[in-house]
Amino acid sequence: MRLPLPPIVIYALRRLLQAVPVIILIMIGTFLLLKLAPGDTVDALVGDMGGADADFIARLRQEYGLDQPVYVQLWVYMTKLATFDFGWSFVYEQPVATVLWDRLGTTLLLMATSLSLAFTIGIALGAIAARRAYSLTDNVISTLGLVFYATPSFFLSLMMMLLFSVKLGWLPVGGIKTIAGFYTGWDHVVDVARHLVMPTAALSLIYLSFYLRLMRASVMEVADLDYVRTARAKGASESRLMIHHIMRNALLPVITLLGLQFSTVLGGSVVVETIFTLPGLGSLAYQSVVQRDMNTLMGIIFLCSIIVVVVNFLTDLLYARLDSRIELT
Amino acid sequence: MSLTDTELAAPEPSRPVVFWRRYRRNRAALLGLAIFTVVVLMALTAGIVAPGDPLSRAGAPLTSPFVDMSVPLGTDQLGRDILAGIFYGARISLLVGVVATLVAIAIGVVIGALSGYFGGWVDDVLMRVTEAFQTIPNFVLLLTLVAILGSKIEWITLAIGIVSWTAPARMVRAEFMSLRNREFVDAARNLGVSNTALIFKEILPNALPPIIVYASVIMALSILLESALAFLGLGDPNYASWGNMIGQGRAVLREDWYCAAIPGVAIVLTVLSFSLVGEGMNDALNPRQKQ
Amino acid sequence: MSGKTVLEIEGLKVALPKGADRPLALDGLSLSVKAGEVVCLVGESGSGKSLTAGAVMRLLPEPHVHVSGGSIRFGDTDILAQTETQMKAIRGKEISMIFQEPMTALNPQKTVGWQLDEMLRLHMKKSDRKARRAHAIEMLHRTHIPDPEGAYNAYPHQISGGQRQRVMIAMALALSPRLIIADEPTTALDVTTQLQILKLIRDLQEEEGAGVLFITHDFGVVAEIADHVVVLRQGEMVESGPAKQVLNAPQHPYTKALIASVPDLKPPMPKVGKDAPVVLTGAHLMKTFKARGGFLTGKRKAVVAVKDLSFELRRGETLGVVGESGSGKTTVSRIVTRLLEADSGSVQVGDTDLLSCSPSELRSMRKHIQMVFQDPMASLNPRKRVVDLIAQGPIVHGETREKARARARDLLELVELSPAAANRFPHEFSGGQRQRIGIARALALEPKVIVADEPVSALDVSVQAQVLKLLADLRARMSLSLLFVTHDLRVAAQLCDRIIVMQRGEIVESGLTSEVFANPQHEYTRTLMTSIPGRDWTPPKDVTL
Repeated sequence: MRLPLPPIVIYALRRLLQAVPVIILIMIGTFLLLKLAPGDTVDALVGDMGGADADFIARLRQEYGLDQPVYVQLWVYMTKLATFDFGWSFVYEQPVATVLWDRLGTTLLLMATSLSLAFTIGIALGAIAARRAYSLTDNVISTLGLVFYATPSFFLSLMMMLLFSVKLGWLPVGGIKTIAGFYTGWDHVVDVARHLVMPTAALSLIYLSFYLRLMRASVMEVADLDYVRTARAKGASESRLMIHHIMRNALLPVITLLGLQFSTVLGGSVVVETIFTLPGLGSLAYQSVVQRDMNTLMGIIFLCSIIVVVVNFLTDLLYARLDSRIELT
Repeated sequence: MSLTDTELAAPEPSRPVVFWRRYRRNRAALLGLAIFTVVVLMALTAGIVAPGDPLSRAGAPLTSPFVDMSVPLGTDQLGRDILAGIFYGARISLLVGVVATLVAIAIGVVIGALSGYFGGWVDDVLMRVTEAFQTIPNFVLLLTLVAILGSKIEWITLAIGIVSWTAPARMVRAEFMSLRNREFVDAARNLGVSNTALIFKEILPNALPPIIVYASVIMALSILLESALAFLGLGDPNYASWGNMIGQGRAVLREDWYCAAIPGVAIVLTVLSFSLVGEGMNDALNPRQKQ
Repeated sequence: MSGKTVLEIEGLKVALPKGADRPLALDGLSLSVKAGEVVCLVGESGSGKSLTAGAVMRLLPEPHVHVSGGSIRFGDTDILAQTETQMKAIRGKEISMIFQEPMTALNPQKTVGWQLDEMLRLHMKKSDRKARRAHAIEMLHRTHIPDPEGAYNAYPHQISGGQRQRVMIAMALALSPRLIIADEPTTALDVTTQLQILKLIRDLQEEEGAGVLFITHDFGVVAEIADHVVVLRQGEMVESGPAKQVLNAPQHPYTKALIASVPDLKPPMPKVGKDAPVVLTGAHLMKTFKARGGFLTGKRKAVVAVKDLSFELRRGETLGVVGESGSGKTTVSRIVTRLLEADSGSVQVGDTDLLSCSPSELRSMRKHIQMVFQDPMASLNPRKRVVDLIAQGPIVHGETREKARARARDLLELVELSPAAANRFPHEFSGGQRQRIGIARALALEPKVIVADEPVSALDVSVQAQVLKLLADLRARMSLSLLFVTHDLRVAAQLCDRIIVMQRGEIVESGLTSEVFANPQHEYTRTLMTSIPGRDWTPPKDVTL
């Protein structure tokens, strides 16, 4: 089959098409899973109202289609989902789509800053540690990596709060911006940035240590390969070996991890956003679970899956760009 | 000038002995093992060191550590003994860690083995399922499962196992894909060995060592997941848990920060010990010539 | 031919880290390379020959492995006294290297041109890009790469193994170094490519007048290229002399034994008559490998591995299947044992067509056709004891555990291993010993046919000779029928009664080994025959093993 499209577009199309069954699988799975939950939306509503008579409950069930067989409900839900209609949130009294849209920006901002910091610092430290393997520098970096890896994000968050907000008073304790500040322009940016320092640090330090450890191992492995020996036999200096021969190859497994792990990072935002009371998808997920707002929860799962798929797609493209052995066909 | 090749070399020591000798060379791994042993001892002796319910009042609320020797690590705002909490918390952490890891490895091994051994459409279907599980942020899935199943410790453990199996499944699959084409598998097949025996008796024993090393990572992650749930107040309220203690300590962070810091350090040390032991085992299994 | 001395090594000692199998990897090596001369450093695995190259380039993995004595002089330069910066200026420019594995010796992420250019850029500070590019392409041209311009822009994975080795040679010679160190440069290549590369090294070296230190394990290659030979054994130099003398009148017993291990090219007369019963028939076998393409792809083509292949194997006979990589010979061995499903055709073992058996019939049929594998490291399950490995087959086919184990011990004796081997694990054995265990395992089921897929190609030449001898003995004693797959014509000549020559999945020639060797009919067979390294040299056989 030959299509008159550049290979990169075909590759992109193919990757996205592959993701469709995965998303469908996820949504069917979660839908059925939530049907197992004790109590449905109507129970929750009625509970809120403080009770109602059986007739009224039956009517409500009919209105929401909950009297239908499960597969019909599933079909209705999936067709709605295809048009990005997530239903109504009874907690927020808004369409779920609106609720999600309001929260998306904060989470994306948090993700983007944490991951880019974790990735760049992680690979830099990993590369340094590998080139000075078993030296004092390496031991310090590796030990710090291990400790951050072992520290739960919520504990790290609390300790940072204790130090920087409570004891030193440098940084705000939570929220995305100063409530009564009404900052505009540059002041607003600075204000938001100040609010994001600790959440970003809490989230990125853990993943930084992931990338650091993998990069260190990867660089040490690549440095032993034949073609590095070839370059050395040509008379290339150590820094040249590192820049031109080792780094690019050593990065490949780290990029794979970046893609594979993204969903975990997104999951980690639940705890961090909740602690720092950031209005993002993560804290929304926690509240939906506590308040049994199933429509919103489904919406979050769908949206998160889409984000993960997109990020995975981007890392795939990055990988293909870096590895010249992959031909985009 | 003998060139004959049939003389045997001196016999080598058995595998566990070699493993231990290599493991022993790594001082960090020994430290990890020591911490791990202490945590296990704490879990075992919790009933002796602090008899009675760790969730009941043991002294005046918010006693600082090292003041009252009947509660050496102090008490929280409800007067509960922090030392008792740490000891009983070790029990819960280890229990959740071990059982959830077993669940995750069991699911992962079955899915990964089938997928890697048979390939083709079996692989396609199972990998789509794996991808689906990997695409949902695992903590969100965990919250959802806990919302559905409830906060009993058994369900939490099972839920942690369910959100953790994808990585071992991928590992087992990769191992199987590389091992199934090894000549020793062909050799066994050529002897007339059945598929089931090939999977479980020929390939699996050779695929297991990296999985066992990875189990230490899953165990660490399971403990972190359980503590995060407990921190958010979604853990089992009937058991003392480090995460829950930190969550409670948050309310008194300003003045009595030790309430959160002590269990926090306990988590860090425990997880660190798993990482160190895991790295030590990995180095012992795949020795590098350097140092 | 003797020019100025380029390299002078005296009493070189290289120390290994504590805990290695011996304290010194090299113990008192002395040799000299003159301009315009090829000195071959010959040895089996573990002889320390590759460390010599590392020592001269000062690229040993220090401090674990380091020079502990002796001297290395390169022209007037004392190599061991140079600083790292001075060495950088020497490496590549004055001394360059060609490595064994063309697959891995080039950076997969950079184009061939970039990597050639790097060599020039590192040592020619002022030159401009255009001049460098022209020089690089000129070098590619001199190595007879088809389409040098195209190769310049290609990534290493886009060109063949032989071409990659040409690129390595172009790179090594780009700056007209005075010394070239070639570490097994043709070992990973097919025999026809090997000859071309050897010629190329020889030709270019003569043009440039450089000295070559050529490291190899293969006496055929030595006979092809060497002016002077140095033989290493376990780090000790046992013999050194002009090539003719060492090859034809070796002095040291080790050299004598090594050379006697090289199979000569005179096939024996066939011992099996035409009336022996046929035990294995392959008819019209076909196998195509389809590249697994997904949706919207379709670029990769299917590869025909075996095309309409038919053969017969008689009892007590050895049939050789000979070809280069990609000829489909390994596929044949896998189809015949049904480790790989053929697309069509039949394999008759006795009266049964193996290819149309049901899975359970197949499992019981397997006892009639057993296999000896190529890699003695990979073909034995590392987690099983030897006795269980050998007894496994009979147990699967219904023998009791005790009897099967007792028989396994007998078989160990048959393959000349001590019964003490029974309770050990495979990693405690040398390569040749593992291959003996593999043979015992195949014999345990008393099969009608044994398929051997390159059983000796991973072994050192002296070990190879012993395993081949064992196979020949067993064949005579038990009247075994062997289907013997090999790329090595010397081995085929020694063991096979008849051979099949394969090229791109098809038989191009078949017949009695002696006739095919004496009078090859097909063009390709003739090319193969003339490519055998050292074909004009007959190894003297005045010692017995």
